[in-house]
Amino acid sequence: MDRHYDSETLTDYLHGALDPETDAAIFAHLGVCEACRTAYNAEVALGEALRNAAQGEALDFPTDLVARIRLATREEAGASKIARWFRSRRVAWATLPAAAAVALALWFGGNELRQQSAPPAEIDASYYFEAHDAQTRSIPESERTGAIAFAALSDRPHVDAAYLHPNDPLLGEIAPGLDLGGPGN
Amino acid sequence: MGRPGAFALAALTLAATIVAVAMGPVASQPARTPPPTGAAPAAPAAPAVPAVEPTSDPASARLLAGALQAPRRLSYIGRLSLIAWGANGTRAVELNLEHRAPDTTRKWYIAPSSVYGNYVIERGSTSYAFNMRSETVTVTHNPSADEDDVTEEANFGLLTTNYRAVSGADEEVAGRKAHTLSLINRYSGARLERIWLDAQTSLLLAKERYHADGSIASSSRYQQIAYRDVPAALFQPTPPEGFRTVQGRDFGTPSKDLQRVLKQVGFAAAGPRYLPEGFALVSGDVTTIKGIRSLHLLYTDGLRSLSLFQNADPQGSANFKGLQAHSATVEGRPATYVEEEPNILLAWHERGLNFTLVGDLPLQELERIAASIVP
Repeated sequence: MDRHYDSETLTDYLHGALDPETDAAIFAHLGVCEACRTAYNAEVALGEALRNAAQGEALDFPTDLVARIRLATREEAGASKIARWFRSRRVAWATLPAAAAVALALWFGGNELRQQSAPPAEIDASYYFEAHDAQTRSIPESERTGAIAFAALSDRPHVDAAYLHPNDPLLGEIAPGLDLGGPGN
Repeated sequence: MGRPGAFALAALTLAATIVAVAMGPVASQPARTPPPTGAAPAAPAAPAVPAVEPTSDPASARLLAGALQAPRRLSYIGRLSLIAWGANGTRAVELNLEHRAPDTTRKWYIAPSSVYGNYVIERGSTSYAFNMRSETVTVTHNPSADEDDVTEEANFGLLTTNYRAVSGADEEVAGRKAHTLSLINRYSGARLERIWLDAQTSLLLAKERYHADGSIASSSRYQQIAYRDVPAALFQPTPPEGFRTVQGRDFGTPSKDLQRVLKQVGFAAAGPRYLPEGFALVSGDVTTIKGIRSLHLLYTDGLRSLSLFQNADPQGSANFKGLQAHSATVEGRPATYVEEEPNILLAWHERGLNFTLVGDLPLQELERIAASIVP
């Protein structure tokens, strides 16, 4: 029987970092070796746990900080609304004659326009794109739909490194307290 | 504007209305499929046998068939790049993908930064989209993802009927030897797609879709790929702690029983009297969106697709908030279109019905199809 593989090699295999011949040999070996398959599954589970921990750390803000930010935002929006209300009053007086002329024109000629124009819109146009994509898979892997579904994220370059190279020393910084056994474990 | 001007505006508007009604619909080519009505619903037309040479290379057809089946029998992981060039700019996505045969996939987005860290798990007809920023899991059901073998065969039949598959030189993709095929429209002679298939497994490794002028509309390509047994544990859609589950879009279940579908819709539906060569009506469904009953008809030529949505609700027109909408006309009526590669959406209102066309066709073609729809 061919030899067994250490955890470092299995980790490289998991992330597709081996040459094709070695990759194929390990693939065949995992099919017949219980011990190596168990070790491989453990590497997979560890990677999952580390990714979840990193994401939890990145998004863990103190709740009072969030509350203070929201309060400040509301106060700022309120002040802006008051200023805008005063400004709009001046603009409204200036445009009153033009508005009256438009109203008169619509009164006499508006019936036809009302019949031609579309009713108030209710259905998001994006729904139609998504429904079409869903039934046709016209986009490769439906990527446009998937990407649009996600809101914007802030840049997190340290998580970049952790995901691409999970044995990188940076990982300790992201998930403190985890016993990683050093880089490349 | 004084009273004389207002009267002039009213008179001009009235005159234009009279002229539009008097002219009636523009004559169009004979129907590719009969328009659906409430009284006499039409079955989908069988694809016409083209009066051109049949697929000249049986081996190419076998490759295509193998490509369709490959994800069902192969498990693999890889790095996938997708780029789409559109009128509104270029969109690119990079993701890591893990697929476990026959129908489970996980995609982990690594670029652009706006979606970095998000991931999607697809299990059959259900997808779970994990959004790290909003800490939500959006669950979406898509019944059409559970396509049966008969449906797939029918679509494949349309593909091979309307397109010639022409072999090209072998190339290398992600370190794998790949056969190349160009899919050429039989009627226009234009190449619509070029695909690269793994020479050993027939898995689709890369694809390019082209505009009518030959420029690339979109491309997808595996940068890395490895075939391996992917553990099922990777695809458990368990939300991380603190995540909220959100219900996503519910899409209709497509049906070939158009008679039943048209009875469900509750209004006299209309269909196009003109379609591009090779297109056929393949399915329909009725969905209630925000309380509005909407009919969806799906047409395809095997490679390109066209959806016609319609409803009879006074508040059922499309809302374009957040999209780059542009003005258009359909038979002199105001219309709106939005481009989101590779599709264009065209919406208009006519005789109490709200219509929306979505398809990977040029705008002029959509306008022509729209003009042939007479409620």
